[in-house]
Amino acid sequence: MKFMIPLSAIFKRDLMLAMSYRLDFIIRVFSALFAVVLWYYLSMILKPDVSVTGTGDYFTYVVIGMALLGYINLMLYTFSQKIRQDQMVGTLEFIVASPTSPALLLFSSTLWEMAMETLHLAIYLLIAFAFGASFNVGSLLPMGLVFVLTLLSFGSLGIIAASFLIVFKRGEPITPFVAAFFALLGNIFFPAKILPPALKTLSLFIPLPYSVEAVRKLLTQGAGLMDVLPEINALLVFSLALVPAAVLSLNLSLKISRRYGLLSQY
Amino acid sequence: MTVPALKIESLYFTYPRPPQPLFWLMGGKARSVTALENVSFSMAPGEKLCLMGKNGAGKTTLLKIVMGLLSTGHGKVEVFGRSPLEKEARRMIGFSQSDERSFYFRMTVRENLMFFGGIWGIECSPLKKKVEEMADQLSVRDFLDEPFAQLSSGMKQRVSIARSMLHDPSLLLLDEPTRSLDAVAQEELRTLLGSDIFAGRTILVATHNLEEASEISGRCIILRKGGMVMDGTPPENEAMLIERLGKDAP
Repeated sequence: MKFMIPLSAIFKRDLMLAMSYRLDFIIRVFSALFAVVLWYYLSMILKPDVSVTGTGDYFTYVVIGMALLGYINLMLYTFSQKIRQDQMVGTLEFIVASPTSPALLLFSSTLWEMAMETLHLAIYLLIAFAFGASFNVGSLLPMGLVFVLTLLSFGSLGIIAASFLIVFKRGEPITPFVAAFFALLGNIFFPAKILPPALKTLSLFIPLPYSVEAVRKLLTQGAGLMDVLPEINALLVFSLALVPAAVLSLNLSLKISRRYGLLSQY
Repeated sequence: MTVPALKIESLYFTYPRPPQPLFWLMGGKARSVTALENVSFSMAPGEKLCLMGKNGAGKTTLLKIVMGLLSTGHGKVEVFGRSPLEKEARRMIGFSQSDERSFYFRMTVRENLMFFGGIWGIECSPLKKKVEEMADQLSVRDFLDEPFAQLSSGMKQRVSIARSMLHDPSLLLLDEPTRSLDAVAQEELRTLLGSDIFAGRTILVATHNLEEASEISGRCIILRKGGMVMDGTPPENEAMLIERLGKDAP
């Protein structure tokens, strides 16, 4: 359990730094409230085709998608933000020089944000419930499984983006593009099946639609493990492909940085 | 036979110009710069050595290679017989630099030290004791619960040295430890470096200060344009040092 030592040190650091920026938490709660209210009123004037969305309750449909999108964006951006923060503060060299593996350091640096985002998600869904979203929560085990696999898939994409940042310093070239792309194809606001055939096919090759579909089934249809098995299998395949790719890209970016002396630059 | 604490053999390092299109994508303007050229020396365990040279002579590059922050170009670097990129080697190295930017300013001294000790893998309970011990030995106890941002430059430097000592390193690298300190703080720090807590450790100090070099060690290496021009006792006076350093651009 040696890995728990750096992990808890980083979690405590992020907790302490977050405590010194308390306004951020208050803003997050209010932003959740405003987002839910916005979708509540918007869904009043939208009458979805039940054969397309599978439900006439667009409000519940979209708030679940939006809540998950928050998680996905966190995974895509947090790694890069943490690297950038340590580049700017000047602590990156000391952290990289430690005997702890860079992948563990980077993963640990998202734990606080993950905890905060989970809290944010819970607040978001509670506010949505208060505004009339109808939930029928199924089994918790597949829910946990879907979350872990979603985090692994998108966390890996976030680490790949952070690897770009280590070398190129700015730009995070893939992140904004990928985030927008996922919002379009990810079953967030509408099902991907209404998109043109080329985009519809493309949506099969990104993990988000599977995560969103599984969470919608688990939160609104009282689904169990067997009902979401196809989505879990798809997410497992994405995780198995993306996790090694992320570790490789991080190691490669550090190798390039050591060769060209880029670690202390920002 | 005793394994040298630090062994450097025929070390060359060039900050290369990245190949295209990487260079263009990185917005590069830099040309390829040779920072170290055929540097060879070794340090016995417990030895103290000063590394001198003008700005840009290659001192910090050398320390960063030993730290594993830069990859070895051509040549060999070993820390107690291991590559600096190995975890075991990193556990044996402590590093302190004069750049105070490498701390979290919004956190207290104690929180900073607990964080850096944690990522070095020191368990919480022994780490707490070690922080207290270092605070006593480096006279920063009164400032442990102060925000790092509020410390004076001299105190920040002491905290930086405390951080480098948390994991009991056998090899200590100090990059210009007295830079930007006033005369009193410089003298205090030099006295500190001669104290018992540093006894038995191998210490490599990069410095511009001849008095400091003479006080810390009987052995001094001078770098000039990345090459070694001297390995011996520190020059006797500033004039001799300037002659060794060279008046031309580094």
